[in-house]
Amino acid sequence: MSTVTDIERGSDTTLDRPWIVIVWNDPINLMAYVTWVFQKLFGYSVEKATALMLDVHEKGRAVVSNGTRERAEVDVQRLHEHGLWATMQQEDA
Amino acid sequence: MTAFERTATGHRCVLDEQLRSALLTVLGELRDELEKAKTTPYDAVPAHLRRLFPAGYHANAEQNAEYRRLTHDELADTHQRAIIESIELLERRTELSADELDRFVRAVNATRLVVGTILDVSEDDAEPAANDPMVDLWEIYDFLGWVLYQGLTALSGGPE
Repeated sequence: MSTVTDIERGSDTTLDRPWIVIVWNDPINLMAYVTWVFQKLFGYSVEKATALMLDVHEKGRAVVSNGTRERAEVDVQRLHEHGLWATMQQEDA
Repeated sequence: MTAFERTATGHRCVLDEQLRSALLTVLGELRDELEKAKTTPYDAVPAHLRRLFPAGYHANAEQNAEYRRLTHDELADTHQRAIIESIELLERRTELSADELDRFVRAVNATRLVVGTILDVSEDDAEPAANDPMVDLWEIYDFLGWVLYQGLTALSGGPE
């Protein structure tokens, strides 16, 4: 929620909020494949990549990266090139 | 039984002729379908291919339409190039570098996604019945999963 001071300064907190990239569960991609993609694209350790893959599998989704909108767009497209079901959105305030 | 052996410079595909031929057939079919999809708007792309063109934004139809407008051709081309290269590899030689095996794995995965979409695979799927009209396609799906796993194992430096 914007404060009076924010508004007076012309600040837009919506623009400031980072973007997150979410990978969603799907019943086709192999767990080993998803883990490999996370390691390859983001340079994650096998432990971190496996933990994220298990979040995707068991919780239905996992945030795999965050940053600027441009960075998120690049990450989403690369995940799509690897066949993963990924979307981006702005992080909740 | 294995699909890849490690060599001094990379990997060697050791699929027998029958399996290699089966793989070439399904890869070739997807290559041809992607050729048409490249110039087809997303809404007119056959349903079983749409899995290769996911939405980029969560719950925002307008942004997704723009995302697809900007990325559709490139995404179709990326999938198709990996498949074409994999077909050429399977037809001409057996040696693969790590980068070539990487693209081969992506090509096999894309093909498996399409086959799995046709089969409407779910988390709860059991073995198909012998009289299932799609039993042949289920065999292809399982075969692609096996090849994919073999490729991933080879890339990770695991046992071959």
